[in-house]
Amino acid sequence: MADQRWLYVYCYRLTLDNALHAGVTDNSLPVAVYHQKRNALIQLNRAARAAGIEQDMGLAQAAALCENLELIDYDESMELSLLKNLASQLYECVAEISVSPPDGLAIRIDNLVRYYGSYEQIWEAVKAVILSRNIRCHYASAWSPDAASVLARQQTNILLLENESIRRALNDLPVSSLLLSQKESHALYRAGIKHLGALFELPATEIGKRFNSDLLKYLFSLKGDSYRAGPFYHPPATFEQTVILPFEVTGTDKLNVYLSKILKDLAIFLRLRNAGTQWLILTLCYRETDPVTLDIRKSDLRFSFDEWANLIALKLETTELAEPVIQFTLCAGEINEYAGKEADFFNARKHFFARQQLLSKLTARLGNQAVSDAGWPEDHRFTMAKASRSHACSEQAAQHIPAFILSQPQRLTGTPKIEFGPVRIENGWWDNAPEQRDYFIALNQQGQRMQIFREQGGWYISGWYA
Amino acid sequence: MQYAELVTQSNFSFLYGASSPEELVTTAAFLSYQAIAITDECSVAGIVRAHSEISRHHLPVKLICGSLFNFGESLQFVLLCPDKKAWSELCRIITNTRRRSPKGEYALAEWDIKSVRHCIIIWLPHHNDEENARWGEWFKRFHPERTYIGAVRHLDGRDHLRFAQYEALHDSFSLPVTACTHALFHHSERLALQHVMHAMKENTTVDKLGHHAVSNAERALRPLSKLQKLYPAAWLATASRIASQCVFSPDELKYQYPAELVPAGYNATSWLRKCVEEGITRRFPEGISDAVRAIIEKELTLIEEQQYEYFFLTIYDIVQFAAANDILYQGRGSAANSVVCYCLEITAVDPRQINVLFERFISKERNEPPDIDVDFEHSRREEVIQYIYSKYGRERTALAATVISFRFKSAFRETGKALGFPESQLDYVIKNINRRDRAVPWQTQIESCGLNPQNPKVSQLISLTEQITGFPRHLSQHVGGFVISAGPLYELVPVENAAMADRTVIQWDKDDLETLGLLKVDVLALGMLTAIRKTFALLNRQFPVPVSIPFITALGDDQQVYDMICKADTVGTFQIESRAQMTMLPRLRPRCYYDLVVQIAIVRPGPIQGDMVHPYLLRRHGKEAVSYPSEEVRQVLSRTMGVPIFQEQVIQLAMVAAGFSGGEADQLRRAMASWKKDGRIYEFRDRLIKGMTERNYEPAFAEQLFEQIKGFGGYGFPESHSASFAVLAYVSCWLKCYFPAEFYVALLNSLPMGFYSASQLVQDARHHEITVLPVCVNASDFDHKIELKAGIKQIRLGLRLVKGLSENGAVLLESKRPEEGYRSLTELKMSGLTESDLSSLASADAFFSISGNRYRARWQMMDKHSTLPLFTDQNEQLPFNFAPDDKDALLEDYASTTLSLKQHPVELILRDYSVRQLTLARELINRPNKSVVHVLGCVTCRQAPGTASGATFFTLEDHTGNMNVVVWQATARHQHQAYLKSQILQVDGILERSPEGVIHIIAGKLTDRSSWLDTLNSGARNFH
Repeated sequence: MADQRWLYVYCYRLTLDNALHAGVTDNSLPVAVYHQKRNALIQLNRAARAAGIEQDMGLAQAAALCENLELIDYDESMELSLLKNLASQLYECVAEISVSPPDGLAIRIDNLVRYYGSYEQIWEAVKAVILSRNIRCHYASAWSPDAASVLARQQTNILLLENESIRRALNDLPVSSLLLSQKESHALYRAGIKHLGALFELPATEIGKRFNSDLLKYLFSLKGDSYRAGPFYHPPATFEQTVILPFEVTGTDKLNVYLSKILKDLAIFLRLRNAGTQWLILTLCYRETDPVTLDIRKSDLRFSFDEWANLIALKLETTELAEPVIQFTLCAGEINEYAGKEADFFNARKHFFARQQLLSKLTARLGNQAVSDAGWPEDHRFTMAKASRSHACSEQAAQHIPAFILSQPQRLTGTPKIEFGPVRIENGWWDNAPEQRDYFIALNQQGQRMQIFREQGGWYISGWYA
Repeated sequence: MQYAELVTQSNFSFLYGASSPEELVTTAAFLSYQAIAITDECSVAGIVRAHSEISRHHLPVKLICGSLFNFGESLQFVLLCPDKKAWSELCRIITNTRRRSPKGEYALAEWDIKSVRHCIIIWLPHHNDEENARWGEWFKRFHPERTYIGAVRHLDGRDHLRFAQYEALHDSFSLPVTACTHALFHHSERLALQHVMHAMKENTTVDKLGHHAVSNAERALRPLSKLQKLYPAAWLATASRIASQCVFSPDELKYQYPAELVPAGYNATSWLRKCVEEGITRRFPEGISDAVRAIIEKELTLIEEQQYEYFFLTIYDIVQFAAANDILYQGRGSAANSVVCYCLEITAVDPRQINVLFERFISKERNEPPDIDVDFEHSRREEVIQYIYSKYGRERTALAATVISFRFKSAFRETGKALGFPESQLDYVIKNINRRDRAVPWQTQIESCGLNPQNPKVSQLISLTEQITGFPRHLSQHVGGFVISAGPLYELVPVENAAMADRTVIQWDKDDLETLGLLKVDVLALGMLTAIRKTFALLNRQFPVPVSIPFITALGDDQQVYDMICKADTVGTFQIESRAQMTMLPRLRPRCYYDLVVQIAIVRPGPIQGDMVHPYLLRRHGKEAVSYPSEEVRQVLSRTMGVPIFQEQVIQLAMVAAGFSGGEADQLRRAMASWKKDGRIYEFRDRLIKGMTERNYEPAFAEQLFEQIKGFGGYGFPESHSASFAVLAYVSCWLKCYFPAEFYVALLNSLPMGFYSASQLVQDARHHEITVLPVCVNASDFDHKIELKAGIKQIRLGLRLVKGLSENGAVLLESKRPEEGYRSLTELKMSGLTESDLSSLASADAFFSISGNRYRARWQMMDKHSTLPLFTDQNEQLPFNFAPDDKDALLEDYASTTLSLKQHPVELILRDYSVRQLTLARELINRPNKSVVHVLGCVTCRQAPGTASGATFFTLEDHTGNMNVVVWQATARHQHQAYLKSQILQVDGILERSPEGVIHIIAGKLTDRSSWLDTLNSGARNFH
């Protein structure tokens, strides 16, 4: 097996590079990717390092070091999805790609030399793709994916081609750098086996008596006696890309940056298959509530970036986000090859939007401020009611809520008759809207029932009852 | 108009009430309430504090005792105690409900409510009409005479519904209505704090409390004028009428001692006398002098007058049990050093050795309870506790409570969480705040941790943290304070479950018990007693004459022992082993027992802050004349050269020089104990100074005395305790002086205890030329032991030192060990030891005798095939040649046994690194005073005592000895990382040598050298 050569590309800051590439964050400012479960910053840009932030530092310490640190939440599935996207693009220039989640790709290169002329040429081609996506990586080559992986993760950044140089490089690697379980690594370390070279020296039978067969297989792979590679990457038959947004997005316009990137990938996907689609499904995921699925259809099969972009924009314009979007998925509903299908490129069928969509569009034109939906939040303050769309409300509390709450209290004129009160509210000291008021229900001379309150000696109207 | 607030929850309704009982009663008095009921939820824990506040300040308000209960979702009511019977009933109900539930919870049963015969019930109706109708019917049926409807008005928009409900219930069930506030705080300003505590309780943040939060500040105690507007006059009058019915006061509680202590034919007095007379023949076989007889008679008379016989008899009974079971003990405390206690063998302090007069401590006038604490061997105290439980039964025995209060860290963390700060941020701030830094308060320090105090949210965090600090958080059990009574304890005070299985605690802490004059018996644990007994056991195996504490004390003051003490060679001994004590020993130079009594008491925050140390030393060494402003003062202070060193002296001075009455002196004593918490001591300042100037003392002397009293605050050490400790200190020094090997072995076998780690004790033993042998599977027992080699005693470390080795494993290893020892690892594996035990032994290099180094041993052990029958006879031929280098071996030694016999870390470091002009510990003595020195060592101790004006004392250890380093606050602040985190520290500083030869290094530059020996766990004791 030692005659094979594998290139391993270790993308050590994929999420961060993706965010920078998409332009959602500014590389001149300190940015870091935060792994919430580990409470550790795992990917950093140069500005963050310059501010004294180190890999695996906790959030609080980092916040203390750098006030304006921008954070992106780490999500393993997002990282994997980005890795697959990269694999899909590399598939144009290399054939045997093994995806090693969440951040590495192993590429067999010895069988490509005859096409490219030299290993360096292959690396140049791979590098060009990686650079086109502004992805930073470490790399190495060796006789097996496992050996190349461990060397790449140690930032070797050299194409090791001679068996002897590969062996030397591997021998010096600390046992802690191997992809072993913590228990195995610990056991080896505590038996004084601290470098891979020492482990290579021991007879396999002796190791076999002490560890399970997985470790042996891994060791054989590292030695180049065999190789373990995951299944090779095959481009999927359908197109589906998920983007886990680095920030919660409140406006649909912010999604366009990501969508155009996906549409470009879709274009490549369809071109390679000589196919088109008339149906895209966009699924928006919220943090709390259920996802929303938007169907976007086009009358013809022909792919047009601008047309799809416009259609999606139009659809999004009419869609009101119930809450900030945290991720979205774009998939092609149906993919049809051009050949063998009736291609009606000039069909001028009009799109019909659902009544609800049109209504939403109108609402959007009038502005969100014009539409309010009275609700009662989990807060004693009546002033919080108008800001809410929640309908959770206790029965007693609801009795006093006016049907229409004024956005700004109006000074009370006249002397209405107080029918009920006071309801004394002293709350909200913890946020920016502390309130200390006595509320009353009063009836004015026109027979209108209103909610009034007294504050600093003055009387004000805060809402009207139906 | 008269009004009594009948429903009030103080901060003893943990995490709900937002004012202390003291604040509530003071405010109630200020608002001219007729009475206030403290009704915490299923608790009377706050009652005594309220009662004591009223008595102390003669507040014109009556305290009503009661408690609030919730039964399911729909019933809330309060039980109030009109008389003592009702009080017993309430205590019984609380006890029943608490004993059914885990610690901190309660489970009320309908039967509990049905069983009420004496309490008044204030029913607080629910908003659900159906439930109310059901309960109204129930109350009408079972308690028509004693149930009142408690009407609240909270201005929350639901009052109209409630009032209609009250009227309807009144009409339907003929239950009278009374007004109440159901107060949660004394003043409206506490609203925010109440919200925060409520959020803590619900484990949420204040903004998420929503409608569960209190909507306004109407849960405060409100002025009468306002109440008049809010409630019908009749309801207010009912409240007042109920209050008039409540005549019970906690003062009525009387403690009944267990009667079985006195055999038939005797009463308590005659039985005590008989026990004492028997003791006299044991203690004074040669007969007693008239003077001692006179003291005994005086003490017995006093005990009889104060009716303390049972107290002495109870303790006598307990120590008799200990003596019979060979458990070492020592009594201490105000009454413990009486001749009576000496005769009863409660203490070993011979009254002829020390002139501590019993009368000084029990005073008729002061009416304070006698104080006797008994320390038992820490490893065997449980036997004593079980004896008490079995003798008196669980109904009559319980531990006193300890109120666990919010300290800065918990207050900051929990308040921050309630305000929505991320936990990781709060943790970071807490870790990075130096609470010892007096110059920069924590409120400012948090800025450097990324919290800007100008930010409104941060300023709320600061303010609320300050408010909540000191608030009770929950009840815990006292370390050993038992309350034992004649009848069921639950008729006196509620009893609840403690966190520890089979332990019950009462709801009052030691101060509460003291306030009510209830006695507790302190059964405490002391590690040194275990070590002393183990040393005795080792000696008694070797010598025909049994060695015991009386044996050693009877030999009188041994000058060789005092020579050792004066050299501060006291590592591992009792009380005089700390860094500060060891610095003081060469200065004070104790030469007799009483010197030790002074030595133990003088190195305390009290005397240090009161500036008493320096004058005492000057006078002791004849460098300053001793003078007394009056004969009375001379009598009090002559034994300590005119300088007040003991707590008792300060109290006596207040009495003889300022004319304090006994009662006032007692109050002063208590105020001293708590002045940092409540500043109550300032109430005595004018009284003290006026009293003294009236008696012709100089105002300056009076001021000085007050400052000394303040300095003592909480930290003064009583002579009565010091006297008992000095006996043990002397005994431990005697043992160390004459039988060091046995002493170290016993100490090591008694760990964890005391000030020093195993590593430090082993270092000290080796400095005393004692060979220490490593843990070995073929030579070690579970305990450390002495091995003789050519007649020389060596210490063999025991298996107990091996981290992770189970006790079972150790037993198995020993019991299965062949006579010739284990020959191979396979043999050991066959003995049945678990993999984890074997791994722990390998880490400790305990296999070195059979398998070479620990790497090889581990590799062999990892072989899963070797224990299979086919393979057991195979020779272990290993193609394995790895061996740990010195550094690895050292790190593993520390990780697995907390010490290394091979090499000292500093010695190892110096092989690879060089420090310019380094001075080793043993060379410091040759360096001139005030010279610049560079030292390097493992940090074995960091202490920042409150008395040291912000200085931190480091102890650095290298392979030649220990070094004392002083780090001033400014130095610490500027070199924060090295100051807080170094395990191996280089200090560049100035050497300072005192006239007595004590060497300190005043740190200039601190450099963290931990990276020179990564991951070393040298086990520093930080900031104790």
